[in-house]
Amino acid sequence: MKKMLIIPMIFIMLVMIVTSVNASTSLAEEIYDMGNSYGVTEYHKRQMERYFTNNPATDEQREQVLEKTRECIKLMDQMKASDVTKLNVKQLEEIEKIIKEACEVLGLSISFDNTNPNGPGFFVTKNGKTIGEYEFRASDFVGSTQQSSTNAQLSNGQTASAQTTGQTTGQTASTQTTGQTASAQTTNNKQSSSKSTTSSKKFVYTGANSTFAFTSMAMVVVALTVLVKLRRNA
Amino acid sequence: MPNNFCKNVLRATISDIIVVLLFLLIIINICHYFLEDKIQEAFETINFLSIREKSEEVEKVDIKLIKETKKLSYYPYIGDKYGRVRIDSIGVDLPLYHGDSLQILKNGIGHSPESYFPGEGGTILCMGHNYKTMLRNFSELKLGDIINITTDYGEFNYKIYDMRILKETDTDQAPIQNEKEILMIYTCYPFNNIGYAYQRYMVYAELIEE
Repeated sequence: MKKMLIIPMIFIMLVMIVTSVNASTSLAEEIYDMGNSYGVTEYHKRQMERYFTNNPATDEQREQVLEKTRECIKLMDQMKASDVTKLNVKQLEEIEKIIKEACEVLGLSISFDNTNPNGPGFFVTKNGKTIGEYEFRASDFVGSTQQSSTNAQLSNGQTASAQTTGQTTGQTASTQTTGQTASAQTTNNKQSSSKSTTSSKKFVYTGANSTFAFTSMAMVVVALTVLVKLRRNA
Repeated sequence: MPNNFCKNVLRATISDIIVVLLFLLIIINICHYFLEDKIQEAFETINFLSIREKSEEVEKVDIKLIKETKKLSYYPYIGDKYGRVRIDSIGVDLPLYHGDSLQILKNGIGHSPESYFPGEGGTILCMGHNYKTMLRNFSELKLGDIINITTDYGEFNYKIYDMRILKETDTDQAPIQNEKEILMIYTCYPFNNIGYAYQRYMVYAELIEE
């Protein structure tokens, strides 16, 4: 009789231990499953898992984060948008608000910057540590100034998408791209492929910084021109 | 008459200033060209010192690789230095950071957060500047050369099996997968470029099981 009791008890204990160990991982999984069709990628899931490995979420936090994720998805459905790039600025602000609330649950700070095309679109920090940031690439802003600002909003919008689902848990997408890529990512996710390309449209620039040389050379040319003109006038 | 004199003086002064500026710029450019290595080294030393000061404040975390799950017990945050990259055949020995922002790349080799960590069994995508003190000597690499990554949680050796020159938009040539551990490390190409480099020199290396 005793043996009969001990075996199920050990089993229950084992299940409890395994569940508590995998709780964080499964939260990432759950968020990924929920946001899969809204732009959350395998990469985001991986980032979430990494974050929760370092900072396991409590049951309460877990529930709250999932609730916020559901709220975001509901809002997206109401807006009839499967992709944040299709949202307008006002709708985007609503999403950002929920994301900020979700970040607060996990003790994360999140900042969005829709105005500076050269700075990070958003960055997430915890206790002064950067969890992640998105740096706009020059390539995102090819075209007119007006287009550039629109792109900036869109890029941030997509960032918000990641936040909506994945970022609420503190993970980040350091190389988010435009909506087109986001759609591609979504398609990839639907196929549940273990292979994916980087979410960036381009490799990171690793060339020497020639700005100094170019600027000084340009200055030399201008100075020479002025000098020649002045000499002629004299 | 005095007005003309003033104008002449002013003209002379402006032209003198321009001549002086021209010489200065030329001298600075010549110094920049010949002392690039030294300047770079100085910047690296300053960065190293500032990072060391910062890292001393941060609590050291013991990272372990869980072999069963191929996961780390703790993941470095963006901007954290967690290892070194060594390529003996071309004399490269640089710190490895998690993250690929321009700020990080000033200090050493960056590791794309999109990719896997060494030991996780997937694609590890790294990159570094083509400065003389960094990855400019990639042209001297040969197939079969070894790239060594020493992390806080273990040492990994990768054997080069392919090298390609890619367009900056060829990101499909760097697939992030988790079936085989492959190190992909790139720098801008041409190595001695002046101006914007539109190509990347990508080196592919596979893990040598020990």
